[in-house]
Amino acid sequence: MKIKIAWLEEAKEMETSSKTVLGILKELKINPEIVLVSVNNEIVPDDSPIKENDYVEILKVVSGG
Amino acid sequence: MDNCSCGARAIYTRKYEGNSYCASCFKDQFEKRVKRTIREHSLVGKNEVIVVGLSGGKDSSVSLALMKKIFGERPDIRIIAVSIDEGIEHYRDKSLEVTKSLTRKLGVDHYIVSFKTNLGKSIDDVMAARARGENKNLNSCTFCGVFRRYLLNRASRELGATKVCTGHNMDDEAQAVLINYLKGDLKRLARMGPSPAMVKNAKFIPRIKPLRDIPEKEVALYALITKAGNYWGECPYVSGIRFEVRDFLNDVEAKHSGTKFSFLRTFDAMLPVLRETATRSGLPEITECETCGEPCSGEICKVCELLDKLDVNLAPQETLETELVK
Repeated sequence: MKIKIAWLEEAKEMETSSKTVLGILKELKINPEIVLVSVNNEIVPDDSPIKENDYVEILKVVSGG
Repeated sequence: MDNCSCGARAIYTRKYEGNSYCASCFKDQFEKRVKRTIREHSLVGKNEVIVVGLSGGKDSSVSLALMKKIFGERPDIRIIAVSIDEGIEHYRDKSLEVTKSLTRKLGVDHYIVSFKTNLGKSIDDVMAARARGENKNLNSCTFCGVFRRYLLNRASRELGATKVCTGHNMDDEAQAVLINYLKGDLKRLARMGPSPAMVKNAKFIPRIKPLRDIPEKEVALYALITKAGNYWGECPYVSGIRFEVRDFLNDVEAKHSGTKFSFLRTFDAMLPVLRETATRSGLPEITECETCGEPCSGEICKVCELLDKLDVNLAPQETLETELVK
């Protein structure tokens, strides 16, 4: 299925077979400890399901100085 | 995906305890935990002037918003914000704008203390000189941290502070503990912990860390929910072991939930023994720097030593130059 993903100030379409937020993070090799994720502009837990055309925004939350 | 125990849609699952929370219950629970930390370690007493170090990032913004929320109505407690301007273009200038709008919104007195005005050089100046080949062996985080702590402590003292409150969270603390273990720095380890440091000196204002029991991810979530902090910029000069340790701890945490929590709890349990051992092996005597008069453990303090390396010769100032935000 196709979703839209925003990560590190870049938004793009992505083809994925992952069914959950955690699956998407694994696919993108992003440690879930360092991000918060919103789906269609609502913050969700990592085990939330993902469906076709969802807008998944990943916000890096670890501090860098 | 579970709902919150109140029945509302969950936004967060705390893996190490297995509970899910909606935004409202997460916020309530977060505030209760911070209050518990303050109470359990007696971080705030009566008749206090608390300076909150405010960078504009999520941690310090949440820390200030919560201190104001918890103690804002107490007539015997005054909350002041102090921001240190290291002089990092496209980073600190942006975050300082965030700090100003937050303190105006909260109605908190706010002072800005600049590296350039008070120490003669901004971090951008130092890094530009380094790029030209000067002081290649100096790590940017080392001198930035030394200068920042010095200015925050001195500005707080000059404002009559009884405590300096910082936004350090559980991740920051776990990283600092592990770094000091890796460096074998027993004395620094012994000075850590939830309550103010064991180094007693009238010129050192005791530090408190009310967010110490909260993981960084949860501080970020609270900042997003309450809109207390929404600046997510990263310093362009970050480097050093802290970032390797941060990634290591996060990798372990992702595989074994609760690692950071138990690591810090174990450290806290060992702290009395560490402090006893450090005291037995001799803590450095606190003297006053021959150049600037600030407390230090040698003849010359770290700030003066670094300023000397950077070829800065400043006449001692009676008080720091600060900018009051209006």
